[in-house]
Amino acid sequence: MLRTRVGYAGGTKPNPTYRDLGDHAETVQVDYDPSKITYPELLNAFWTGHDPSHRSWSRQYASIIFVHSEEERRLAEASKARVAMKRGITVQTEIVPYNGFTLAENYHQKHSLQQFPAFQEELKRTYPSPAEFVASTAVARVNGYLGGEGSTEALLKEKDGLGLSSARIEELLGLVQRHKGRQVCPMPDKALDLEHSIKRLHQKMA
Amino acid sequence: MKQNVFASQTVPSKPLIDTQLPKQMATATFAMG
Repeated sequence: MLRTRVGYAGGTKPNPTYRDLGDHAETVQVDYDPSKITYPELLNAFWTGHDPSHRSWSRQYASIIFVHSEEERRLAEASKARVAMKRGITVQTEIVPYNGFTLAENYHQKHSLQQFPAFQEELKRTYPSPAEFVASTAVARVNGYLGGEGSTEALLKEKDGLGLSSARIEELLGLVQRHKGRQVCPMPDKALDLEHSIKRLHQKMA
Repeated sequence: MKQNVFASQTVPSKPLIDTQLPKQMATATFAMG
């Protein structure tokens, strides 16, 4: 997982905001390396990250896969059919063509980092502008680890590339050790931060 | 020698992980209910 961001998509209202999102849904957008993680694997994280049989009472909380290509549509439809059959449920998830994405306000981004000011402060020294901060893979990874995703092995492998001081790395290793055993993501290292973004989306925007 | 009073304001260089992004990147978009 390279980076994630939360925002609004699927509607027609121009320039949606949290207070006035019109017909848009709260959305997570993910940049990924297709040689490391496949679209079907991302779809698996999507299905396990929420209850797709739940019919949303508002557009804001709809379950939607925004497809960026015909190939994605084919994979998403097949995946949806498999989930319906395997779980014996009616899947309420819509599959619609991607029609743009509006980045949510800064205070909705990187929720876990906001709970750890020392980490945030170090990373903001490197990325003082909100746009660069949200676009950073290092920030996305650290946010995921702080939120309880990812393994000690993965962190040990990449710790020197995260742009954190040795004190913060030690602290992070301790946190990841404590989180061990309560991860729910089926592929915690590959989907790091995606699953976390998904789980926290409502919390962030509540 | 004079001390550089602006030294503490220097922006650190980018973390290694941000300098090694893959050439090919894909984007996926989901709303999670």
